[in-house]
Amino acid sequence: MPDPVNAEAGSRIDAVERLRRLQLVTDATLAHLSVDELLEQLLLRIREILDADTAAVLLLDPSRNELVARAAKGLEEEVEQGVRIPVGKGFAGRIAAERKPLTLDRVDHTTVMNPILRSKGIRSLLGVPLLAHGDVLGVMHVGTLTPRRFDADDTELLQLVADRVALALQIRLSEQARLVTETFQRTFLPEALPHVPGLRIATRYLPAGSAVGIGGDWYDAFALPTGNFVLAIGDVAGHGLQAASTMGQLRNALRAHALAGADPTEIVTSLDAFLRYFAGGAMVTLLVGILEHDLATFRYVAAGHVPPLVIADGATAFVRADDADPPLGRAKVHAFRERTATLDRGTSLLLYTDGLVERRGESLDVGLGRLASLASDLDVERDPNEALLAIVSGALPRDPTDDAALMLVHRYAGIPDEFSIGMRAEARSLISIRRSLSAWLRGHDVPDDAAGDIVTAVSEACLNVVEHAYGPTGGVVRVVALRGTPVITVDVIDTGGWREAPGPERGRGFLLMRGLMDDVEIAEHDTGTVVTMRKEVP
Amino acid sequence: MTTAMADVQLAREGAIASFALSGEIDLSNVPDLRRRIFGSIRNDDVVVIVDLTDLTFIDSAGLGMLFELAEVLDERRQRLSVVVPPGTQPRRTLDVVGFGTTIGIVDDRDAALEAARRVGRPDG
Repeated sequence: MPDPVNAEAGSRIDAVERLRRLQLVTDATLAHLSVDELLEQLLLRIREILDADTAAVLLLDPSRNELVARAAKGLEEEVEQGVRIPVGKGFAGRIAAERKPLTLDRVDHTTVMNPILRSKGIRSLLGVPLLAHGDVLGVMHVGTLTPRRFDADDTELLQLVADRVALALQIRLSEQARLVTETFQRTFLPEALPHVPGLRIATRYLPAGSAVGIGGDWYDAFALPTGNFVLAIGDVAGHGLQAASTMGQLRNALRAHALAGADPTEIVTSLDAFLRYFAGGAMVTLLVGILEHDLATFRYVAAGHVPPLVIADGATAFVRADDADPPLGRAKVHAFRERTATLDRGTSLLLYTDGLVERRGESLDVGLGRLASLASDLDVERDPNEALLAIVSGALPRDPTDDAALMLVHRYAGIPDEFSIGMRAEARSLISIRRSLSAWLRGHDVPDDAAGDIVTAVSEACLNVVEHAYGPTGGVVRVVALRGTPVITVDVIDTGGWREAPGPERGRGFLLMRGLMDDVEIAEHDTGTVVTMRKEVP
Repeated sequence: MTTAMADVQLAREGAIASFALSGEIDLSNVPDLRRRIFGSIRNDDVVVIVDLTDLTFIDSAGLGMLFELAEVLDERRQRLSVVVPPGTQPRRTLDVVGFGTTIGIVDDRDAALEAARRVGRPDG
């Protein structure tokens, strides 16, 4: 416990003692600690070195301009109660506002806001700002229960500790911010990509290498209830959590509009208005389009976005327009125009953000040229995912300062002999199953009449699973079809029970299956039911 | 009147209510379509035409709705005419379940309207 006489001792500290104390707080082993562990260690040591009774760190919450108690020794209540001090108010608040050390020889309600400090019986206080590159990160202070005059040496030592804390905090906070932003960002990427026979969608999101660059790029791909597909890729200008948050909002708004049946022009127009109304000042480039369920036609709008690249037979071409549309979020209302790209069999469409092609000190055309020549060497048909990786490793800068997102949409030249799809046994899955199966049958040049019969019969078998196979928790319906010559065989599989619920509609369902197919077999197993249907096709 | 994958357009001519259905009808949108169609029929409609010319698909849940509509209208002495052009998948579906044996199927929408006008004229 310090006494008033000792308070004068600062000037008498000899060189050896000074060094020992410095080593205590600059110990290299501290570097490996987490922020909380580091604060804990440094507070313990500074309390010992300065012979104080309490030590505390408050960090700035910039969103509310308040200091929040983060760690304390001898003042644990402060942290437990989450004490918040407005910048400019009270002891700690003044230090943060004035960015310089402050000592208090008299602690009462006129000098200290925090009632915990007063009720603890603290008599003297010394506090310093936590400064990193001129920014205030918080405040560190020590206190004594007996009157004490803190001197210049005490202040200098505490400031040394504070500087060390500030530096460590800044590094760790920016690492943390990077991790948080990246994690947040990734939650807005689609959980699963649409499974479409004859089509493969490969995607990557590549966060920037540095902490400051991350955030704002995204892609999305999903099937609509109509059986068409929405493909989108976008880039919110700016970085960090703010950009990632704007991106998340836009993604959700885009999904809602698309689900409500909006076409690409309507989607982009709505998002443009949304952005101006709710996120004033944000600038976004976006390419959003609808790939028809026949997989051949992609209708899209590119708002200020880098042009899509079509890859076909070792040749590449950017789909460019002379009258390109501007980015979203500009002050003026703009009439966006829909473009069309045709996706022939064996062709790929590459959607990407500028992070893939832009390099500092280089014109965009150079980056686009590099991408085009890279893509022309690829055998996408063999493995679209591998092709995407080749693009990433070949086009991306070594130390990317910006995010990049890519989506490679490849339409296979050949149609596999086997078709397989599994979906939740729900009414709304039926159309997706029909659309996928139709595309596969069309790919095998099955005549429309026969294809229509097969699709209708399979839809009936699936409807039967939806209505009768599972309890309220639901299950999965699988359709596996095989192209034989000349017979097409389709299995509709469930893993549920066979709940008897006779009615005219169910009777009609089986009537339809038997009437439209050459034969229908129903096999009930312990594990579920398999309906096998066959039809000869010319 | 739009659902995600089907559309209903109602046109009236005197006591004739014509519902033109397009798109695909299955279990997922039958409840919605049923509500729209049943809810739009007036008590003084003499003929109801359900035009499936632009329909590309109908499943047994959709057929169930049509059978129910026929039953309801028959009880009220209102007449139902279903238009399904030959060669379409819905026509094939209706034929397989024998829809035409109980309810009148008409090949062509103009013919259905012409026939309806003869019936629909109160003094005709």
